[in-house]
Amino acid sequence: MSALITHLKNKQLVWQASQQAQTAAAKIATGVAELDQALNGGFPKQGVVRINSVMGIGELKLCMPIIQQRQQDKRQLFVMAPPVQINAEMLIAHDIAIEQVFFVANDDKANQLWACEQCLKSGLCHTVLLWQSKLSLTQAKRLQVAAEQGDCLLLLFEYNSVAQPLPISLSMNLSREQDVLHINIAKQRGGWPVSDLTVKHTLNSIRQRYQTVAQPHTKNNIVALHAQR
Amino acid sequence: MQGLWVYVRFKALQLGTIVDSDGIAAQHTANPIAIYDALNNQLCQLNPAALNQGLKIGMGLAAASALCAELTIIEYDADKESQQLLAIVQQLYGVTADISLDKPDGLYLRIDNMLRLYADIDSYWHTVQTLLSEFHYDYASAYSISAAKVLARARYNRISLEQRNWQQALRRCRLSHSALTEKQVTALQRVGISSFDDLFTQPLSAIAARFDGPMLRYLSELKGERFEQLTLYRPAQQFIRYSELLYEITLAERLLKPLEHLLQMLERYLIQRALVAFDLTVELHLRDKQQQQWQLHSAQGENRTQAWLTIAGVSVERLTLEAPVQGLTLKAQQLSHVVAANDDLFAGKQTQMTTLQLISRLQAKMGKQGVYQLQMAHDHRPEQLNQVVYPADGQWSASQKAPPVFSDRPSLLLKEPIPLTQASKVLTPPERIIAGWWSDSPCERDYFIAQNDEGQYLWVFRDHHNQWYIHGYFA
Repeated sequence: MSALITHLKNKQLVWQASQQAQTAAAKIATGVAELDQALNGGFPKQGVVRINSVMGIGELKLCMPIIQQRQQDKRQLFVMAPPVQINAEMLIAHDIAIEQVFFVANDDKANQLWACEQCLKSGLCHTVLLWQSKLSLTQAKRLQVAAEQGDCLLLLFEYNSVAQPLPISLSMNLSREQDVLHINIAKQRGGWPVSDLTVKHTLNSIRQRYQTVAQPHTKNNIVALHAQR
Repeated sequence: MQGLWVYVRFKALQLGTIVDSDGIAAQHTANPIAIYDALNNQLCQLNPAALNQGLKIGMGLAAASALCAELTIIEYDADKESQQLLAIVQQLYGVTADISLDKPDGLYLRIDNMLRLYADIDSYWHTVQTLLSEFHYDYASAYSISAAKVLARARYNRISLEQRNWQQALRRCRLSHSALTEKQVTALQRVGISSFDDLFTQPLSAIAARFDGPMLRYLSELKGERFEQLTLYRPAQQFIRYSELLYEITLAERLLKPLEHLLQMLERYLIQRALVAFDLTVELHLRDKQQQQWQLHSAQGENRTQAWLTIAGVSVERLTLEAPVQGLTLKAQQLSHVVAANDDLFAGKQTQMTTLQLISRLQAKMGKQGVYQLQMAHDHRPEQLNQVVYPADGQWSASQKAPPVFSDRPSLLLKEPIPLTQASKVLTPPERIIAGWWSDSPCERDYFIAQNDEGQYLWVFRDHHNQWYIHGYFA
């Protein structure tokens, strides 16, 4: 019997209530009430969090409050080879100290993973951002162990790929429809999967627009560039 | 220069530089190694393993190879001996002040002025001997520089403050141990002088009648009546050390073992002086006299062997050898003083590394440009806004804390805008950026936030030709 339980525990199919109390304590709120509730308090403090989405639907913005809270312990933020250059202005807008942000530039996937593991293990980073798709089971396991070892949060962004189950702390699928974010929590440690969570989460300037949408449309009063010519 | 001097004559300096493929020094390895002097056709230095095989110093090449088939023979090189001598002096300089080099294999050390620092001559000599423990050498002291050298060559191997001891010993030395040329020795023998004893009992006038000035000066220097001038050693602020390899190395990973040997010497050198090195150059001496450079960099500055080995271990993966390596020279030229790190003992978790060490490790693998930081420029043009700064350059200026005035900025910014091809809906009023009219890349654009059918938030702009482009994403 106990061998079976151990087997199941190793596969992370069952967990013990005593463990869950600990994991529940170590959460960081995302600031989105519905999501925090579904995640039993927020993102885990350490481990691998995978977000699967289309690029540019606000997936990084959803994580910014977490990165901002994590930087308080005076460690570094490492960004591994983003597909498009990260805009420092956005980081500053979210109150992130850019002198503590380091970027790693490398096109080789194996090198990125190596660098990522080094950063996670070092214990010097509060958060590491990684863009990779089709991570293998062993790679994910390595990163998860390294992240736990270094008390680090790895945010793994996957674009346009079929998400296969991985032994990580949290896995979510995001999709957007106008100002609504559809969140599928495919897997979370110490919690149940939640499907079809809809959250209103959008850019500040657009939120203002939706709030004022009831007003009649103002006519097109934009002066064209070089209108005087 | 007046005073008590000791002369140290090293026996097998070149042999000491040799390291076999497992990183074991020639003195300890089981492979017989011999240094061969081609000029005189004889073996001049042998390691213990070679001595066990029955080889003797002074043997010819043919006899040696007949006795021992697996003998490794390396040609004698006075330059390499001198380099090794310099390395010894660098270490000795820490314990004794006045040192003069007698290339290729001798050293003069002045004792009498060091006795103020050391309790007595025995404790002084013990300190020096501890530093020289890995070398084989003969030594002797005298109140005359030339006499000390003669005595050391005669293997007197004694140090004393007494005047009489060295003078008596000198009288027992053979003339062949002196610095006199063979011609001068035969000339002396012709007049019946065959030992120092004979030489010194002769009245000076009798010798002056037969021999020239330099010889007379040498004799009075030997007696300690005149004193010659020596140039004293001044240390240079750099570390250069050479190590010859027994086998050619073709696999870059195998360089690490012999490199470790050199790094240990570097560690000793740096720790003695409380220095750290930021850049190391490993010169790889390839077959056919070619050279290849291998750079190691540490952003923090390191002096520990282990730290440098970790960097080298990562960096070696990127190293491709152009030809088999026969020798290594380790150079550390820019050295700076150790600065104690002011880490907070209680903040966060204790880690074994520092951020700079982590960056060094990443840079070792990806190159110096592999890790960068971003800085905000004082410009409104999106292309000019983010400036890349490499941590190695140390050009990080004070951080700009001023938050941007705009409410939404894209998180991903394309280097070059791409034409907008999909149907998308503009969601915001325009944000007009007109800047850079004074430069080569002016910017006249209306920026909007748009959303396409997939839900992507795009940062699009319309230029003055009414063309639409994507410049970023709100990830």
